[in-house]
Amino acid sequence: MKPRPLIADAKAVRAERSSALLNGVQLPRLRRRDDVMSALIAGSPTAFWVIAVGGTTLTYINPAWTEITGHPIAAGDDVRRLHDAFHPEDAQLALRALAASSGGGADFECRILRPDRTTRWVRVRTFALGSTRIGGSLDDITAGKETNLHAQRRKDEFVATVSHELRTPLTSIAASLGLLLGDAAGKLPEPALGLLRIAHSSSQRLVRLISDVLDLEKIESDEVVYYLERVDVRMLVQNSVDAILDYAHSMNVRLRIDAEATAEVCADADRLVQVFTNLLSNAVKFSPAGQEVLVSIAHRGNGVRISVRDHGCGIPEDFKPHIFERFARAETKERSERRPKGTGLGLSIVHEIVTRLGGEVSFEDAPGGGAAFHVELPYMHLADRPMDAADRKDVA
Amino acid sequence: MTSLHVLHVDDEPDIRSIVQISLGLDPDCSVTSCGSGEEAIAAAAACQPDIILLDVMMPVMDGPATLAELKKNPSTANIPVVFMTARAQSREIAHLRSLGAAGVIAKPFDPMTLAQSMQQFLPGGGAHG
Repeated sequence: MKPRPLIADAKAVRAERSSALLNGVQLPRLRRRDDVMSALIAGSPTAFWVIAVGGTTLTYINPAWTEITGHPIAAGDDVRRLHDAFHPEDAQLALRALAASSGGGADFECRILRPDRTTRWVRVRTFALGSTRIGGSLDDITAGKETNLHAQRRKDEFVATVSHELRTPLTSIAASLGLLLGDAAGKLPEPALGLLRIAHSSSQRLVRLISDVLDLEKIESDEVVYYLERVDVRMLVQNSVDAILDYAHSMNVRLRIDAEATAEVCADADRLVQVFTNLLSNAVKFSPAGQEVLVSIAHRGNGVRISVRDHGCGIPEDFKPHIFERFARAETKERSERRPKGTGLGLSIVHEIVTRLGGEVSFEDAPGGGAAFHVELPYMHLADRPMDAADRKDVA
Repeated sequence: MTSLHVLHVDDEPDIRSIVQISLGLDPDCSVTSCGSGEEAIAAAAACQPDIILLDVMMPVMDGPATLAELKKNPSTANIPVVFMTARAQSREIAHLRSLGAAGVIAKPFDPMTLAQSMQQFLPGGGAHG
């Protein structure tokens, strides 16, 4: 057969190609940039949707929504049908987050309840598309979330085990030493008692250190659930003073509360007592014998300020920038024999707790010598919610 | 003079020995020790102690589960139970009390005053016997 001329071949190819371009379905659409984007979004594993600002129906939604949530939905449907997918326990949170950023900017994680009763973890984001439309996206993050939860559970178990395994022998050591010091095994010579006192006080310090390390680790990793309730600051200060009264007596330091008024704040009572007792025991520790530690409560702006003031040696200048750091301990010139060694974690714990409760902690040189620490807490910021003892909210 | 009979329950032998010595400092105090919740349930019914000192964290049957079993049996339901725990924040104390405990003693405890501490949890706050 006679070969076709090359020129004719080229024409034929162009004609075929032209024909394919004209008659094909996918190829001609993908020639336009918008069409390429549409195809990508339609095939994306991330769900996307678009609504008009103030609109009540969906302008666009891709198939991934239905694949992830199991709830069929299409363009033209009421936008509220999106909400049907949220897990009932998370729906309020999700709707609040969406309502709070009606112009876009929401970014939260929640659960989806599929019609087959299985749950999926998703991340939802919304964003402005110009000034007339809002876009949204939803990603299935179940796999990552389950890995994290598993890791978190293992860590919790580890911390609980370590905590128990360390505390149990320490309890035996501290109690045995306490019994020997109390002559439970007969009168011991003074040099032996001196050594036992060192061992006993070190064991007590180790107990405090383990508690503080575990506590700080929990607080910093956002694991601590804060039980928010309406609390009376004056009462919590009094409880904290009562808790360290014996220690203050043993150090020959007086404690005084000077409250111009009391105030109610929304906080976790146990954690606030922990804050106040840490500040008070610090103040007592650095007070010379015969001196006084003063706790004052005063209204200040939109909150209440609780101050703990001592008459000790003050805070060295070079230590001030590091005061809230872990294991930070001031090197004071006058190292007191009577002063028990701290863990160096107390003020870090104070700082973490107060910050997470929405407050601030600060310090200053007190007029006339010594140091003053201030805790400022906002007044009830959940005042619009009915509160009772069982009310709880994780603010971590 | 009246005497105080304590049933002490802890899976740690060292703690059992220390509590025995500690409570033994009070001549009016006698102690029966158990190493598990199951043992404690049987011992409580058999020896009818004045008070039970119960560890919270124990394997198999922990303190709260042991307390629940003790409460089910009419012969042990009214024996005051005091928990001993390293986690003694007020919320935990409130929780343990809500389960029916008469009180909570924090670990590490003061071994020289343990007997006195136990007495304050008796009905009448110390009028034991």
